[in-house]
Amino acid sequence: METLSTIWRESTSYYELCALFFAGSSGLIILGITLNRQVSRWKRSKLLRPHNLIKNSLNTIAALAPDIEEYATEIQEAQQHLQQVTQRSPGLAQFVIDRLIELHKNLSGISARVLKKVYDDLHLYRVSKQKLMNGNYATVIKGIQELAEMRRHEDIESIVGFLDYYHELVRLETRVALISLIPEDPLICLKSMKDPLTKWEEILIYNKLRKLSPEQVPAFKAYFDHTNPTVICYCINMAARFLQYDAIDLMTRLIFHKNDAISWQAVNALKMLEADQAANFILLLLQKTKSIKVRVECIECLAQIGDTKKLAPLFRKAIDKNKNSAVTKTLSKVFVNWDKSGAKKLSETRFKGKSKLMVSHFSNSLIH
Amino acid sequence: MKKILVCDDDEALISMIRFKLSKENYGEVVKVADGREAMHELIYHDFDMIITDIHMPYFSGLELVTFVREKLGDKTPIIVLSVEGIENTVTEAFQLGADDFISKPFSPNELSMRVKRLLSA
Amino acid sequence: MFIEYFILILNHFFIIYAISITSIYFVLTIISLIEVLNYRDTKKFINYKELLSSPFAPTISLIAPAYNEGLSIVENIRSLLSIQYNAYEVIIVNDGSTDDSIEKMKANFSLEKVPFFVDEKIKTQKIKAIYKSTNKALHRLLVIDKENGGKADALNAGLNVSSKDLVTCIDVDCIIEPEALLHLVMPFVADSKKEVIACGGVIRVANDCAVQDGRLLGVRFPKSSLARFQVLEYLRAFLLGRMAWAKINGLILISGALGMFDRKIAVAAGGYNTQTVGEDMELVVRMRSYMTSQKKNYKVAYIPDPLCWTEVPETHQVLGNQRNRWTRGTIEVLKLHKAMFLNRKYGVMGLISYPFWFLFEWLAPIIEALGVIYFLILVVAGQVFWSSALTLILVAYTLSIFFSLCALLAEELSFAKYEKKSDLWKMFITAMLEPILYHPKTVYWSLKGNYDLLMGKKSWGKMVRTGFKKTQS
Repeated sequence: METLSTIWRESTSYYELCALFFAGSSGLIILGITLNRQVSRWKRSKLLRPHNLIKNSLNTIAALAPDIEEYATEIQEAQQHLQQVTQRSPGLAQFVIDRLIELHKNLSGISARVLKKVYDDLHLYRVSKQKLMNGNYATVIKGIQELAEMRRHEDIESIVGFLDYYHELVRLETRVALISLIPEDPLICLKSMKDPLTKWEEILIYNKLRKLSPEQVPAFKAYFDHTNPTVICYCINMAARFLQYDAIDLMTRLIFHKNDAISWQAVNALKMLEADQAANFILLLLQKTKSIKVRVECIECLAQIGDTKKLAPLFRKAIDKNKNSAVTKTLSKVFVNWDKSGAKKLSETRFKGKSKLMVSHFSNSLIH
Repeated sequence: MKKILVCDDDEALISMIRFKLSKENYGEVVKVADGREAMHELIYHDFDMIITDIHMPYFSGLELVTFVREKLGDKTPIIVLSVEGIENTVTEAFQLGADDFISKPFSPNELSMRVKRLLSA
Repeated sequence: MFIEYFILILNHFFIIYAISITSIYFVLTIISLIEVLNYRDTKKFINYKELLSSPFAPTISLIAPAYNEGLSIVENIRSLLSIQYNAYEVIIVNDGSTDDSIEKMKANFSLEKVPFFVDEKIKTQKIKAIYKSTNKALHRLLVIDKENGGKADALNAGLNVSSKDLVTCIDVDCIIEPEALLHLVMPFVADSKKEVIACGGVIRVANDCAVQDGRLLGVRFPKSSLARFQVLEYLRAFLLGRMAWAKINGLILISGALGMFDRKIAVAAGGYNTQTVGEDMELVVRMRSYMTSQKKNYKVAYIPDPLCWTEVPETHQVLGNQRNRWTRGTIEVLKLHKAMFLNRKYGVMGLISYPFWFLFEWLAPIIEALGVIYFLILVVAGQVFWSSALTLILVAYTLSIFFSLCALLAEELSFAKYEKKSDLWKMFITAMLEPILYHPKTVYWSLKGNYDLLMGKKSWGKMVRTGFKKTQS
């Protein structure tokens, strides 16, 4: 025994310290996990009752609000319960907020209004606003989302500041939040936008805009001269999706834009809006442009809006002359769609050497 | 006693729907959180009405409608819940055999009216 | 005199190698833990459901090659068809199966031949027919029947047929969680600075988990000891290693069982290489070098959600074959792209990833084996200073437990899939046994892989599938 202890003391080196450290931290990790699990289980069991109370109270308020006269006492009682619970701990207040927002998202009319009133009356917005001061960007975003979902127009000023926040995702969420907070001018956030528009933001903005009433949808053509090309593209697309026919003139001008992405988007929008007055310009663009992508889109657009009789001979010539497979493919696809009998004839005569190509279009699910 | 199945992955919403329908005494309300649980319930129990969301994990609301109409071959009334602005999904749901449709956000009373109408029909 | 010198140099070599590999893993672990926490934060406010009803969501093809999977193919396709996403299609590539796979699919999904033409952007074996379902509810399904050409060839056929924005390549016998596509697509749509060309996902061990209709019902810790070791091994590799590599944009391996790619770039890079057994890693490396040659700013992303569950081998023979193949795959890929080694042009991949894979993935087992032999020689020669040797062994042992537990910690912080308390302790014990019982085997298998490659072995080795035992309800 004695010898062992002397060996230990004499040779306690770097390596032994390492081993000790690793073994110790391993033990700490496993203990930590077990302890954490115990604690959270205990917490969960303790929170079961207040959570159920909150659920019931919110259900009562949401479900019975439309018949508020009939159930006045029950609703009042539920509100009192909520008040008591929220004062007990910030965790419970957060639970109320989460639950309330879930319901508010899905409900309309009086129920939604009453839920908002609960959010205001119980000062739950203070909890949300406190998150804006937090250093963690995820928490800040959560706060912004909560305030926007509950339509806290009073707090717009404290949210607008985040348009210049250092974290990119916070800026994004702020812009999206402002759409529902300022319905008079929902795209105000895009005005000074410098970040490139990501697909995710496009998705979020479109989903928010869809929820606005038709008269609140902004005129997108106001943004066609934006400095940020991704914003221009998006707004052209949006104008087409919301069928804003008065934007056609501006779009027609934009098809000659030197940025191919904008040019493509404008042609695509004209196709969606079926703007036949622009046909001649698109034909002009088709001859001028060098981008294959734009050319393909022009052909598809002309197929929709152009004058068949005038275009058919032109296209027929083009098929023979053209060397790019993508363009040829689109041209032949257009012929198939124009006229069934004509298409058959064409495929027999013109495409003998390219029969495989034709079959590919017949089997293409998009055509059928 | 009528039995109603409510499926949506939003727990807060289905719990509210259950509360509302029980309050109006429509009968027993069973809530499930996803398409798989819903199918399980449908195989082993009979329901007088089904209320389902479109977007759910495992099986979508549309698949559930097809399942009820084709596989089980019964005519249980089905109400489909969906977010606004997806018109083609709604028409698809009707084609597959849904009886009614409510777009979120909705008012609890609207839901209970529609349930009442379909249950009494 | 010379001998002593020699011993001294060797000693230092082994020590330096061990210290450097340890410190690299240490750094990777720390980055990973931070990233896992970060990812958990992000998930709090992202509402993936926004993608579901949006026309802007990218379209996706799910490509699943199948070779003699008749046992479970119908069930697996059903589960693939019920993934939560709107704009996706499922492409099953029947790679010249010799069993009744195609008949089973035809009967169950009312398939019908459709006329087709495939623009052969990547050369593949001949496609015999393409099937679609006559049932409108199954409009997502597309089955390609082709002549046998191996997994890479089948995936290439799928890439040729697909016309969607993104492709997800998966193993047909894996269990894919319903939210898989929603999560995998996120890096592609949300990154504003760089073009995301690929996104990898986590593979988890499904042995002994409750499975029904191709769906995971409950996660359980496997019963077989070999599978238990692999649970820890997978946790370490996926939660600790790759998370950090993705952070520094140096990820070069996306597992073949679940990965999403930008279709156009994958095709432009030339698709999967049919000449190697490491085709999944090879594709990512080639896509990256393609992007470098195009001078584009790109990124390979990675998400740590447990989205794909696979059955791992439970016998030594099958596992040995698998590891043998992995080793050969790694070496083949490294050989094919040796121009990247410490090449500044390729950025992080050339300067860090490639050297790491060369020094610490390929050479590690070899050097370890040499170290053991060297140690044994010293023992025989009576040159071992026992007390310090034992401490060194102790350090190595505690270290390996430490890394396993860090992986466990990452899992607990993020997803906590193993909920049972007993599972936790079982994992702890597994971590203690692993360095003694399991690690030597992996070293042996990868040495064997090296040897086989030297002898010119090319095949995949036999992979026996038992299929998920159905839990009857």
